Amino acid sequence: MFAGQPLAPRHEQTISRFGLRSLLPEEVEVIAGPGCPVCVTPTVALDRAVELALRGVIVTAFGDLMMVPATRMSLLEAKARGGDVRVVYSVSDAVEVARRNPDREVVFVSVGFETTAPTTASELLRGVPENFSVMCYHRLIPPAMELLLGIGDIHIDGFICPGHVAAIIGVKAFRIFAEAYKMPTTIAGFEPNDVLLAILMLLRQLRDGEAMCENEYSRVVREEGNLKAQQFIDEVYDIATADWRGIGRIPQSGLTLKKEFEDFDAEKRYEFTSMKHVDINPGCNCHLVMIGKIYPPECRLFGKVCTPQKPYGPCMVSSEGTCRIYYKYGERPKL
Amino acid sequence: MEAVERFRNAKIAKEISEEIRRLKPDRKVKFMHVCGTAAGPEA
Repeated sequence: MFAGQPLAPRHEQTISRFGLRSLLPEEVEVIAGPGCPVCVTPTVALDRAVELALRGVIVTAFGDLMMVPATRMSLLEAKARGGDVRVVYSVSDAVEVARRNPDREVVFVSVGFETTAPTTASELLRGVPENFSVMCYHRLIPPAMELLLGIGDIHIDGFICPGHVAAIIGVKAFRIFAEAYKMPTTIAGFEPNDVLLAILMLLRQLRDGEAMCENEYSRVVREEGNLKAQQFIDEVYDIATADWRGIGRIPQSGLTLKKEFEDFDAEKRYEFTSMKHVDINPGCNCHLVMIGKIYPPECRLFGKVCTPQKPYGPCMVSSEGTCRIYYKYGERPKL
Repeated sequence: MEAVERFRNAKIAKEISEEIRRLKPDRKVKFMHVCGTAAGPEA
């Protein structure tokens, strides 16, 4: 058996932790795409959260965001300078902070993909206190995948799609890649054999000259997805063009709060200092790592200037960040 | 839980990887995973 500890739900973590690349023939390469929400959250979100914290607002955020470098400072540095920044495990915890502090303003930095968007939507639909608001920076996976197909020098032969995102939006949301782009596609779970099976499925498609959208993660993912979660998303958010850190602006790839919820939109509630937001620091190659153009060790800063203790780029921060995963697990020898 | 254990079973992993090697393409192929993980409380 593989070590049976619960796995952090990310394909790169599964691949690196269990040395799955070492099981593959040299002809088969598996690269990481832009799948870490912390990595792709634009700096403007963090800069504004820092500004609010230093102005006396209670800023609540997932712990993953705390050390992410921003233009002037990270949320952790803002906390060290006296800002009231609190790590929460969910948006529900952030709402609870607001309820317990009725004389303070509380902002939740709401990031993530289709997986986390329904939870924030659910809280807003249930009703939140007036002193609570949301910085909404949710992003959508399929539009980013479409963008990747348009980057000529990456040459992807198949997609391994995220099982948990598919659990929300369904297999149907990924069919476009096989049907319109003729790209072999599998939806995969996060155990080691899930990933290996997904690779096998893609290789079979290539052998047979087919392009299908197959569901390896059928024990969880359904064709239609989670209709209740989709309903929450539809009721609370509009789809809009959005900026991705290191990648740029992607049409129809973000969620913004609908007009009915704008009273709880922190970016409408507060005014922010106008400033230049720096997404990628000089020398940082996170933007190339995020689109699978290079592996983290190919960045000159990797493991030297940029470490988990002192991350220089966003991909070194979160346990889901590709650079952080490479730093932790490294490359395994070929078997 | 038993169903999940199958997906962690090293013997099955070996069988799958052998099948992968049998299907080895005659050119280099590149697969991309686009994970889309939920942000979490770590760090």
